[in-house]
Amino acid sequence: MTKTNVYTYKRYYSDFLDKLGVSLDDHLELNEFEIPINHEAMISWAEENEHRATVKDYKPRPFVSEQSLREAVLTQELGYNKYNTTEINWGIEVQDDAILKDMLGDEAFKIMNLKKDTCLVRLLRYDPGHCIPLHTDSYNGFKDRFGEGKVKRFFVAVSPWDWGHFLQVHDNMIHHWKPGYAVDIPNRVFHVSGNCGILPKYTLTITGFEM
Amino acid sequence: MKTYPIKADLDMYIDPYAAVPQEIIKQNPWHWNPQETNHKDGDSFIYTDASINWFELAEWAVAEANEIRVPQKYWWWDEENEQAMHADESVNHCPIFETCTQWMVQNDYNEHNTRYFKFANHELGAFYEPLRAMFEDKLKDMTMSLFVQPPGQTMPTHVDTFSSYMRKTGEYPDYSKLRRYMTFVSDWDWGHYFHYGNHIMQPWKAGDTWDLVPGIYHGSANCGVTPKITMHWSGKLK
Repeated sequence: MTKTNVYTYKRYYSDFLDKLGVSLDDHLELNEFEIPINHEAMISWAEENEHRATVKDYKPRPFVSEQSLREAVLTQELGYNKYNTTEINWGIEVQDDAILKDMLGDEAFKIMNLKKDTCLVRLLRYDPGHCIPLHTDSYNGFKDRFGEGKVKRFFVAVSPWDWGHFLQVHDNMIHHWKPGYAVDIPNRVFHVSGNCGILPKYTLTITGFEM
Repeated sequence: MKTYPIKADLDMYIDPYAAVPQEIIKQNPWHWNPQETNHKDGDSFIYTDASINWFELAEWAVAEANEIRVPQKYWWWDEENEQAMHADESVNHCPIFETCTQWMVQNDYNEHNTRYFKFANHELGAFYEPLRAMFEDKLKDMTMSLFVQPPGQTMPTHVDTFSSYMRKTGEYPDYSKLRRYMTFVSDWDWGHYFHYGNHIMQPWKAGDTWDLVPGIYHGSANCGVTPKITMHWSGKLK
């Protein structure tokens, strides 16, 4: 592609990945497992408490790490906005985080080898037509609350997989999950998730310190 | 809530099957179960074509799209007239209409998350003849379209109803004769997603060519950082 000028050039994100040495030619082995969840109860709770959810879209925010800020700026430039990245999120409020932890139960945290009292649980809903574009996790919300340490982040499927739902973790395209499917999203690994189907996609992100 | 409300109440049980024309379902029985693992949805891969310089076609398509800047195609719901719109054309009279209501009335697909560039037939310039040659022995009344899907855009899940063919010819499609083939013009990249029924096409290579056998629910998205480019041939089987 011809680099016409700095405003029309479109490969800034690809250049950024190249600079970081991130390549899809390298394979990432996944750590996948299952945890017990009552997905119907969790979705019912979310629907009943929709008014308590935080609705946000993917954009640069002042409190994230410099790399996360750069990733968000780069995606804005590519055409991501509130019309295709809106996320409905339960758990940012402390009482909702506690409710979600209770719904998960001790066994789930034991399987994940996470300290339950210092975990953050977020229930996310991505409606059809929305995604979270390519990014890494900066754990800012978690670190602000609990400080530094060896942080782990897990994706957990809540609603059963449906057509159009996907999660890509580095070179792995993940799909056809069942409720309770869990995968480790390693630190600094690029990932992306989307929904081009007709049903909402409910998932959890669970962040915590290893036991 | 801090942003705009979604259009309709969420429904965990929208049935895509109910929106598909009965002729298609009768002629092309399919499992219609997203959790089905015993399926043949990925069996219609044909070959990786090397007759076209796909890299050159991709570069040409992106340059054309950058020249135009505004994607010609997008789906939206005309609230005032209650019409499902594909760019400036109503599809209320087309067999895709019921699926469109699942997209744009029961869900929130709109002109912001379904945009794509389309270059059809002679708009393909020097590539027209070699592309036509790929399927001229298989299809008659053939039309060709190249789609450039920018990052952040989706093609919501659907069954091919050949509504464009209907709008073009004025004929109700005879699904027993119509066929579509597709080639990936660019290599698979971050966030590029294409599901054909329960088969997830990843990773693909430029030139990978598929027989999109009718009656299978499919869709695509680009949540990545580079355009996703596909080439489509439609027509009546010879």
